[in-house]
Amino acid sequence: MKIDGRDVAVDKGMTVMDGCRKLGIYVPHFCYHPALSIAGSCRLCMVEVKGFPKPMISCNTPADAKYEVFTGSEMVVQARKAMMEFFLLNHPLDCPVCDQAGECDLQDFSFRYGRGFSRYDEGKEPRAKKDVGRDILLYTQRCVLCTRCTRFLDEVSGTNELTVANRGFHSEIVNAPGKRADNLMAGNITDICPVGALESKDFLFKSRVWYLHSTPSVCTHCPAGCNIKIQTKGNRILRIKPRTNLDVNGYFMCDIGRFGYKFVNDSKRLTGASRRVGAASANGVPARSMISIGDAIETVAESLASAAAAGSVAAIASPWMTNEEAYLLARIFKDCLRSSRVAMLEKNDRATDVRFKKGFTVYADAAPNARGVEDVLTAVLGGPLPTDAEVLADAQSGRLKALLFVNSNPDAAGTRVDVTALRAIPFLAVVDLFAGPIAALSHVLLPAASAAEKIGTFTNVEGHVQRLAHAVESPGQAHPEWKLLVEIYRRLGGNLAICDRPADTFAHLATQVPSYSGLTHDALGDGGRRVAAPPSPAPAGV
Amino acid sequence: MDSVTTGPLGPKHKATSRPSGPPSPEKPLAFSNAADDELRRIVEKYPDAGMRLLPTLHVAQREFGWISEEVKHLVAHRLAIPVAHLESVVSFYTMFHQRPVGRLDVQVCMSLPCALRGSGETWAAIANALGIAGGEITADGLFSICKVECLAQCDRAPVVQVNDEDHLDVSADRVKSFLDSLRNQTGDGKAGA
Ligand code: SF4
Ligand code: SF4
Ligand code: FES
Ligand code: FES
Repeated sequence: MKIDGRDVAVDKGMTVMDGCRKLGIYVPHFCYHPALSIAGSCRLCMVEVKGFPKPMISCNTPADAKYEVFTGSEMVVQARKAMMEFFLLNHPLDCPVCDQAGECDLQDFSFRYGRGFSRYDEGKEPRAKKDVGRDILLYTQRCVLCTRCTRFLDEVSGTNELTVANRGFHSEIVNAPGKRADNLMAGNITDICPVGALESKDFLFKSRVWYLHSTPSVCTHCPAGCNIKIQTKGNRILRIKPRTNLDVNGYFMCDIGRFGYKFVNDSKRLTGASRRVGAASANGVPARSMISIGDAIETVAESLASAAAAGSVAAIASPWMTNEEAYLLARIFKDCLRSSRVAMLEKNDRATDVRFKKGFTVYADAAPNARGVEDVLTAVLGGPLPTDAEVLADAQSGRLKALLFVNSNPDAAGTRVDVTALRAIPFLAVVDLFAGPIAALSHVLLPAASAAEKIGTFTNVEGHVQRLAHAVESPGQAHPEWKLLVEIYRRLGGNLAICDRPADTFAHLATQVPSYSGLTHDALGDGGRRVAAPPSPAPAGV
Repeated sequence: MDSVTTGPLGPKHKATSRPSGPPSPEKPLAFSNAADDELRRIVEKYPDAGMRLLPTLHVAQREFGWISEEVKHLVAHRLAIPVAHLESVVSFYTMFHQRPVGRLDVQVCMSLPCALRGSGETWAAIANALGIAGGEITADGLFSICKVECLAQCDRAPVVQVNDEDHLDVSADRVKSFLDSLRNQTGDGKAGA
């Protein structure tokens, strides 16, 4: 097939639109979406095919080797211009107060393909704004009836909460009787809506989108590892959007991940190190005083070293840690403390996995990196790892002299650990995000960074290793766990070559964890790499 | 009519494409035996749920008078399709009533040919004479009025359909006698319910 004078190979089942996309030729469209069935209803994707008298919709025209296609001919320009006029007939043009402005297809297409003024003198018919779901408003009059939202809810989530009602000019999107768009994937319809019709209440009027800074990263609320964009203004996260990765999450993410960023901005986050003063009463919480990070690290390093000398030191590693952090922790234990008592913090399960019609799954495990942490600890320290219950039993029986507990759970109250055992430990160091029940019992408490504040990698449930990115600064004196661990490692006389940056740590990790062999942060790129079994020969370089 | 109920937020959400049950479980709506037989015949005649939808809706409307939200749930359940599809189809066709109607449902065509021949005036005259607006029923329960799209008799515009019967050339000046004749017919028992 020839498109704008360039040749493209035609496969079975391919459309003219697919051919254009293959060549990187952009054809404007509303109803077409690569994850949804073809609707062919917006008529904006029209192209000229030589020999045919009328323009054809590229999204639903099967490709043919004999076709000669033009995407910018006079016929196409006129057809688009006419369609743009239809789209704006009843559109309120309230861009100045519309959140979509700046990332709106209708706005962009009008600018590129439409006309600068309207020939329409009649009044517009107002359509009421509707509250269609927990987080979703429908600005009905802005809708271009592309049906992306209803097809998504029918085909991808399978929940069918919205539908098109009425006929012709009176058509509009409505809730199905008795249904609200509240499913765990519902937020995606605000992303795929090409205009400002479906809007997120959470983001409503918070910022014009062109002031947002976007950082590619990975979700931290379950081991699916959905690729995300963290969108910030100043040092605040304003919204999370899914980032396309066909090997992981496709085009979508779930609402737990989408709205889970709030803990990062939470004013109750730990912002400094503290130590316990005086003893705890039987059930009471000991008093604390703030100390410098340096002093805190010093105390932790010394206490761990002396407990190790007595042969009774252990750690509990959080599944919210990055692979690099798990590696540093493992090295501290192997190289400096000569111990392999590092347990994985038991999984923090929500109710059950939620699997949607097209296969998208939100996992019950609320932590993102159980697999990576386990891969790394096992490779360095040798398996099987002790369970956290075994370590806590040691604590309870008084056998344990010092415990380094990295909790770092974004859910301040979310722990299934029985904290009574922790009271018996002579020295408890805790790394955490919030002053939860575990942190309250610590002798030394170190403030951790959230995943949005650090560099590193997570390994998802399928063994896909992906990079996190630094999107915002940590509050106060909070530090990424890797920095805290590096300082402890240094004081205990560790191998400094692996310490400078998480990328260095990762490169070293890759030489020790067989399935990660050959990987580097650069090689992972923005899309990550799969390390799952069966082990293949190490991919060279890229 | 607000069909929106607040749903719970929660990770325990169950993803399901099954239609939810009728909203008032205390007194569940059901088809009569006669209607049930009819529905069974429809099932035999048409191989899939999509094809069964329109005939089933006709049965339902005859049975219950109009297609309430509860009826939509009942039919969705019966055909094992999402209630969303019911909403689309029922609201697409003016022949399905989404609110109670009078014994004579007066449907005025508002599409272009009828409009050019004065259906707007016809509509105003009817509404005026009966003292009701679109979607309302007269106090005696006899008339309800609504606007519809082309009834495929454009050559005799303006067209007004009363229940299942078309009336042609109903210009505004004929409205009074038109309504009178409808009243008389009901008296004779020839038209209406
Ligand atoms: S609300 Fe948005 S996605 Fe849904 S039909 Fe309208 S324009 Fe399309
Ligand atoms: S499915 Fe899991 S990884 Fe994906 S957005 Fe939801 S919580 Fe995050
Ligand atoms: S994208 Fe082809 S008709 Fe809408
Ligand atoms: S326009 Fe009224 S019958 Fe066709």
